[in-house]
Amino acid sequence: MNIIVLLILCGNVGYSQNDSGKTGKIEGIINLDSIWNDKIYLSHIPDFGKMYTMSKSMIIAETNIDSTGHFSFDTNYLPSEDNLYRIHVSKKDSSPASIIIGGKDENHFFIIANKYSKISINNISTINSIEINSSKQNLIIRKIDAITNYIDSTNFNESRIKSDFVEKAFNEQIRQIADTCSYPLVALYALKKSKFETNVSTNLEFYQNFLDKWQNEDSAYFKTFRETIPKRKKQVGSNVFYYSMILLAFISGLSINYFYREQKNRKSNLLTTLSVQERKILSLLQQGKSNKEISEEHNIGISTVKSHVSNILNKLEIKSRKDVLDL
Amino acid sequence: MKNLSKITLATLLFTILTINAFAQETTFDLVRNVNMFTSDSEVKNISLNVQQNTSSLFVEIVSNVQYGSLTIEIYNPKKEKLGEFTVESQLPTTDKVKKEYTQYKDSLGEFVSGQIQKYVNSPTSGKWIIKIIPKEAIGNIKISSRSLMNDSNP
Repeated sequence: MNIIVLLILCGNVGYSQNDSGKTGKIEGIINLDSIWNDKIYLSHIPDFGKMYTMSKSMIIAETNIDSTGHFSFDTNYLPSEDNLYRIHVSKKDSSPASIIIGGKDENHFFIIANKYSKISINNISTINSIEINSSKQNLIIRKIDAITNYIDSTNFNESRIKSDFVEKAFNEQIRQIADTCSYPLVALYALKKSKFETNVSTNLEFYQNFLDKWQNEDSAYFKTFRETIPKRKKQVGSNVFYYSMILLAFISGLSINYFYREQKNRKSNLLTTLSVQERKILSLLQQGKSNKEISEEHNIGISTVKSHVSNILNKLEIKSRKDVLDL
Repeated sequence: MKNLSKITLATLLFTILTINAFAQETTFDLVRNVNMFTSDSEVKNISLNVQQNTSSLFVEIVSNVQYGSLTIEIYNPKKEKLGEFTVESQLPTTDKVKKEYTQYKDSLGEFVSGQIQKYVNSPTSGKWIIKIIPKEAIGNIKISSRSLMNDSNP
């Protein structure tokens, strides 16, 4: 064991991730053996694609590890929004900007923090098997890391078939964490660790639903992730049908309206062809009066009334007295 | 008759021991060094042929970059990416740097280093690819691999 880390207690404060107005701090106690430098570094990871990128420009702070193994980073200058950070140490024969991935000398771990974060790192046995107290987000991060470390150890110790099976099962478990996690950045960290790139094509809806859930997240992390997930295809077929039906209904309405208006105009034109006497008789017909009643009212013979009625029907192009009522 | 039994038993034991001796696993080590002295940007694929009887594979890649950037990716024969890292220098690779580097390459400033280790039990047989993607990079890469092969299971 190259790195022996002792217990650290970061005061007795009940820490919270967004303890606005109070000074934040990331601290711990680690004891390194002689191959390691007595410095520890904090790097900002601007997107998940850069988790395993090492550059001096990414290192935002370095601090000494004192003789008791204590180290501390102030977080006052960090953004108030959660971001991903990497803490690493370097070997004496190596550059401060060095990253070791895998094996017993793995030299880094990831945390999520903001300017108010108070994070204490406890009971470290190796740099990549640390425990973090007082930060729910980072506790979940550690859980995810523990699962991925288990997958790696299975690759080393078990047959290929078993390790493939274990990898699939545990990556699914990490995706479940991503699905149910209430911390957006932690959920995204889980997806990154589950090797989502190999799963997108077969499980696209899961990732689209994930992005729907976090649609209001506009951090650079989410923006980059969105670019890697194919967008939902708009349902062109059903939309075209929907708009066609509306258009058809509109045109039908216009046509019907036009038809009735034409009919009305035509009938009012026909009415102008009636004589004064015929109009008077038409008026009585519309009141439902019989030939006899019309005859008595106008003091004309019934045969004359019949003649007028016949003319009226002919001129108005209607077949019976009943149709007169509909005019 | 007794002698015949003893001879048969001795022959049998000899045969079993001989088979066991040949059934032991052997290791196959490979080390490759790639130096980039002239701000390299050419993508290179280093392949590792993993035999069917390989019981485990260990790959370690160590790289140091003084200028430019360098990405290393490891792929198994199914073309699944198993690991990657990138090392980037903040220093631009100017013509002056290139010239000075060839003259004073041992005395130039700090470097950025990356290292990855992969252990795989029962690795997929076939061509494992280590993809080297430099961008105006000056530095070096050391690739070490160790294959443990079971001789009795060709």
